[in-house]
Amino acid sequence: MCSNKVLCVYGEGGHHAQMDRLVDGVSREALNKVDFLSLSDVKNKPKWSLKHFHAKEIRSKHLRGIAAVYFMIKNITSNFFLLVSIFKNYKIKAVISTGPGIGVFTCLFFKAVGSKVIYLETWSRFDKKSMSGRVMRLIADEFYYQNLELATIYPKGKFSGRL
Amino acid sequence: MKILVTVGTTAFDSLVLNVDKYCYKYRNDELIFQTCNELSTLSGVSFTFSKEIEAYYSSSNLVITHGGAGSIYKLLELNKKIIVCPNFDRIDHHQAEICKYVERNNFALVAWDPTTIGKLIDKSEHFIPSMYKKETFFKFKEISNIIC
Repeated sequence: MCSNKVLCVYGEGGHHAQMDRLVDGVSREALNKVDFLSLSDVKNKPKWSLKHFHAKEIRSKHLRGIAAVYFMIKNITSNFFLLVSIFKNYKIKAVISTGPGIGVFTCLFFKAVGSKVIYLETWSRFDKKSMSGRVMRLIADEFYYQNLELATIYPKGKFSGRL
Repeated sequence: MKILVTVGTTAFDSLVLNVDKYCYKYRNDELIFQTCNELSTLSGVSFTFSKEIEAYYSSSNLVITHGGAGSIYKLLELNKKIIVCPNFDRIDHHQAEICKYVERNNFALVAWDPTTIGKLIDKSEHFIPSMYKKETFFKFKEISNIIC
């Protein structure tokens, strides 16, 4: 086991695909100096993860109004206790997230307890900030965007190219 | 033609059913549907999940995909001919941006309305997409230095 523990946070679908590609590339550079842990609303543990934490979805794709708000509050509360448990058991040096909302909440928590936060704006954004990006550009230690079209939208971000 | 329809992990019944109805009535293609729920179709075969999805991609002449960026980029990297249909059955409409991007760059045909998918399947037979190019990610070392 390595002393550097990095928590990788991602949602399903494209967010998951981006994290797989990101960890694949970073781990080649990190050369076994880092243990990657994962946290997602996707149930299955990725192959690259030492330990996977299954979180609840923050935003429902189908509920609206009060039902959606209730869904969010209930699941954020549940996830908060999960994060406390991770904090107690692991010294998380950095959190990397490819979004969406689950990344924001987790990054806020770990930033508050002293971890570094790295955030990648999603590869599907070209014209507008994502909801997560709006928040994360303010709190991330490193904020990257993948499409050059976003340069004027995130002037303080860093262009990274596309995963 | 062998046509794969893929909707990812979110229900997109209107796409599946419109493809099914049109092809059943007007065409003679081999259809495969990747759905995320049990859906009865007039033709073709369905599955909800496969670890071998890339094999399905490779063996298809045309892939009709929802507007999920992961699916779109993977298919473009495989040089597949695709039709993209943004899923507006979802609450959020964030798939629109990438659909505009692929349409603007002629990487794919885009069906903004699932009811128009039939005409686009016909059009795809003569459609020649532009070669997909991207600025590849170059921050792996920088991120590694931060976390090590």
